[in-house]
Amino acid sequence: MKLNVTRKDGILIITPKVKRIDASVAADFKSKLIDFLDNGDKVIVINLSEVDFIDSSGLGAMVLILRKIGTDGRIKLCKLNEGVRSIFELTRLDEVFEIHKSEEGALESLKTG
Amino acid sequence: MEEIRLTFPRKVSYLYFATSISKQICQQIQECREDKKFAADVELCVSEACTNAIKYGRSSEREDVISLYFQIHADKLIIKVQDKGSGFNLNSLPDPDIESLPDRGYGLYIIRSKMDDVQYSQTEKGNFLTMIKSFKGEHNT
Repeated sequence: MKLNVTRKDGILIITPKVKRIDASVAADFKSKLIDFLDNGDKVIVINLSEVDFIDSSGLGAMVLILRKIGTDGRIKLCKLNEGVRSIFELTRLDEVFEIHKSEEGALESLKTG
Repeated sequence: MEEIRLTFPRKVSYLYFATSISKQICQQIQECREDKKFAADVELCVSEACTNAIKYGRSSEREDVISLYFQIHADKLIIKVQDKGSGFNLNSLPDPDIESLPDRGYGLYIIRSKMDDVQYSQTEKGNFLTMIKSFKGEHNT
């Protein structure tokens, strides 16, 4: 699974370069995110702007990362399209993840909060 | 009633194939064309059901495959996912408890939420997860 990775003020910004996060890519996605955590990245923004479909396999990968970060770090999501956001709302994971409309908003909240 | 059957190897690489077909089928149904959310819900549930079948439907038979049936009725779409694994008890799987932040268990919850009815049966021909969505059901708003 291809990811675009940048850093801004010490914050890791990950943009999955896929249209779908389902069981065919979820394990690879999870493994790549875990590598970042193992290498010391603890403040992460995941930009989902290019993803137009996510299912429970993708959600499970995100939750696992959130649990692994725990209280040592922070993770924010941004730029979810309507369909992707509705899955987070359906599963109530929008109450667990902090979701921002823009990448700038997510970065700002990490700097100020 | 018209029925479309599809059989594919029990491999995760065929997931996109299955969901793409579901979208194509929905485009053929006038009620679905008029309601984009219907097709999106079907695509999501087909992905969830096929993922479960691919993960847990391992067959001891030489042909390890998943079958997908789309039955188009006047008032509803019935989707059946067949695998030949050991099966499970649909009622024994609770909805995920968000407070404990589980990383699995959302699939069936999503299916139950998006479909009007969900049934599971184990027969000599295999396990069938049946998902029913009415064209004008209360979930189709």
